[in-house]
Amino acid sequence: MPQSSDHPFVHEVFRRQGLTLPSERLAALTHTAVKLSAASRTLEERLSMSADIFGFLTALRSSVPPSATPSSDVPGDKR
Amino acid sequence: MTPSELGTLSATALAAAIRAGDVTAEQAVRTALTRAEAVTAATNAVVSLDGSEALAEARAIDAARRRGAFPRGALTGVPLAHKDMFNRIGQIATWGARIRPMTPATRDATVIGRLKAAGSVTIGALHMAEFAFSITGHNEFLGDCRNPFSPDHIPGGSSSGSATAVASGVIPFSLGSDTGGSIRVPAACCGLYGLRPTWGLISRAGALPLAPSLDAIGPLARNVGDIALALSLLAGADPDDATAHAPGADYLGALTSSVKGMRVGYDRKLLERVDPDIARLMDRALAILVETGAVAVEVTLPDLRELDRYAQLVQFAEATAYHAVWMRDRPQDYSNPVRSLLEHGYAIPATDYIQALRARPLVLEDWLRGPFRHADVLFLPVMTGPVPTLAETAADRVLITAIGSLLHFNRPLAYLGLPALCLPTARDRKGMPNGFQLLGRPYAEPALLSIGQAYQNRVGVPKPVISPRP
Repeated sequence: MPQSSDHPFVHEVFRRQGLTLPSERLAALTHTAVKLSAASRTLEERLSMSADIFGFLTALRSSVPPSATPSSDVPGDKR
Repeated sequence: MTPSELGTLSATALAAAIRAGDVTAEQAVRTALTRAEAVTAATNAVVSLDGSEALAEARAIDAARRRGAFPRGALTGVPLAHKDMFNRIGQIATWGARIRPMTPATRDATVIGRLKAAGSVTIGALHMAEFAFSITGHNEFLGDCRNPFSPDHIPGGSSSGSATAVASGVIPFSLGSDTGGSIRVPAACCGLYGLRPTWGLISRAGALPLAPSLDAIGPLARNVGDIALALSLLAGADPDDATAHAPGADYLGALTSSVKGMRVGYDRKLLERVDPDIARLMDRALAILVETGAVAVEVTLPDLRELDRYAQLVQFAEATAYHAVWMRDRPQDYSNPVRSLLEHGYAIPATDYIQALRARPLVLEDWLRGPFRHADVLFLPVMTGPVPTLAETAADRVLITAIGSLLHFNRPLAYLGLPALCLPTARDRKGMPNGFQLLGRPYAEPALLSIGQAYQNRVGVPKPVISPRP
């Protein structure tokens, strides 16, 4: 598991917030942060400048319209 | 009609009985209050009851009937209660926490206002996890909530009181909220239907936030019809919540739509990873869906663990930001588990959080062009195992495997913002409920309701647990 000293960002954030945590707790949080940052790196590889934080709402609203009926391309479904 | 019979009625049926004069609103409300007291003695499902006010409202409805002026409304006289996270005029919500609002609410949350406008009578407020930040139903400030089927087991959280009260027949449906499974898990643990709607379909104005980019408010009920009824009353734009948006949809009409040929996608490898007894229940549930006329199609789902990391980036960063002031000034007023969870957000750089938000449309597209290309709805378990006991998920073991079992299929899907309907399976080999979920495309709630109703037509409506064991 990484130590908090391996990830000075985490240590510094807690210092600025005025929060004091035991070193083993800081190490655990660092471990999670490292894991989540790695996931963020994989996302970054796919992001263009046009990807903004409001795009999700647009994506939801422009996706498939509501339908209570099955897909029309099902064999034998004449609707 | 006996009190026990009243406790079995759906909201639709109870409203019809009151409208027809077969039951008075006062009888309905008094029965719910009496039952709430008995149920909470066994389960701790109720935080507070507003008996006097509720009975006064009910008598006013009955008096209006006698004057020939019965109020129009789909829920006139129907007693309801919800997770104690919604603003209600004149009330201070507990938020399941020691830290609470400083003053009584001056306005109702939008969802509470809409249910009141439909004529419902609010009888009180229900148990929830501290700040809605636990999936189990433990709460060191309110006391733990217990599963109505077995007091040694969790009811699921964070909408623990909602699930317990509905499963016990106190009320026909109840509102909960779901950030990482908080509607679906309690619904599964208590043998109910529960809908996490498309993100933004139902206004969140006046509700306690946890992580607003993931938060969704939705109903838990004993039958699909009440889910549809609640949705028909709650979905839609709201000037107080800019994200609220609902395309026109006939939720009640969807209940009678055919599901013949509807494609239900399932990932065999995913189902092989759950507890064998639960896998058996999943196989049976999938077979029942096929019996309704749906078609099971095998699909491959993207990696849920990676998806869960994206969800965690959003959830922890937002939750910690919302709690930053209290975390600094009143850290001692949080339970250890919730404070520990909130500490995670500090360790997430803003850039990582923003990348997770920017990437959401791309990841959503992966799912729409991937498994949803071959399926109309996707079939997933809600939990990887049986309902855990309170001891297995106790506060000092909060990060252990049992919690992972509850989050595994739920928090990742919240990142997608897609609607998910939890449906009850048969009981497991120990007699406990369980559930599966059907995930739909954006705003595909009508499709979920159609197949949910078809499933319910095959398996029947779950009966309320009328006499929970003390």
